[in-house]
Amino acid sequence: MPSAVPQLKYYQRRMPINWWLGRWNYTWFILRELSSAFVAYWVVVTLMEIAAIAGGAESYARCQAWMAMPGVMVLNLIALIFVLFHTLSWFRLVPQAMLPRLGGKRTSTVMTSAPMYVIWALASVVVACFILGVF
Amino acid sequence: MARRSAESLPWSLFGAGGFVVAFLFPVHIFLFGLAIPLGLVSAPSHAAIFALLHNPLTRIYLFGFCALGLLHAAHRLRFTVSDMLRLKHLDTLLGVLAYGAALVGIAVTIVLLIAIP
Repeated sequence: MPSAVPQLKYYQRRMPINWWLGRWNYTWFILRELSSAFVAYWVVVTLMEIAAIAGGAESYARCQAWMAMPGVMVLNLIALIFVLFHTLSWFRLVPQAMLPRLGGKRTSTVMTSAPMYVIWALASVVVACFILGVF
Repeated sequence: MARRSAESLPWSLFGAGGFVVAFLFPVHIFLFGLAIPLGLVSAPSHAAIFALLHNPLTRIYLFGFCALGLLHAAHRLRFTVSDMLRLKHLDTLLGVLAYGAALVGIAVTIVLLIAIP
């Protein structure tokens, strides 16, 4: 009986670097994950705005002029599209994962997502009212 | 009893950040990034927006907005970069870079929010 334990070699498939371009599912997944880069971008913009507002009326005006540059607005539009993509996928998947069953029955995606849209709408209106000085 | 994974803290912060991003980021980006620069709505005056920023509740809100947004982004970017560019062997380094950047961002947020006159 041979005493040496055979060395196990696992088969590892080499993935090409553009593996995520092959199928729509994978591309969507990567695009959704990339939304986080725009989240980070927006936090930086927010911090800049805070610094500008704290710095006085002049720096606030400079910041607004910067935000009105066409290139920045295009970037903001792309950021908004990516973040909306995050919002829609988050509302579809996460509540469903948190509450897969209710009363022994599988909850439907509509049941778990609908309240999210209501909260989203309310939160957006309240935040907009604060920012625009309605309250 | 199952041991709690060391990942549970970043994971729960990622989840909380995911809700903050989903609920609050679109309206902020739409207003500050597009609607106000395009003149769709009138920009708040400096006095008005400064008064809003002066309120401690606004600062607490902005702290949560920025900190949870950064932690969410760090967690996702770490795994996206690792998966997309097949850098599994650099996982620890990517984690340190991503969370490190998020922590620096959170420190900047705290300093800025405290420094508001």
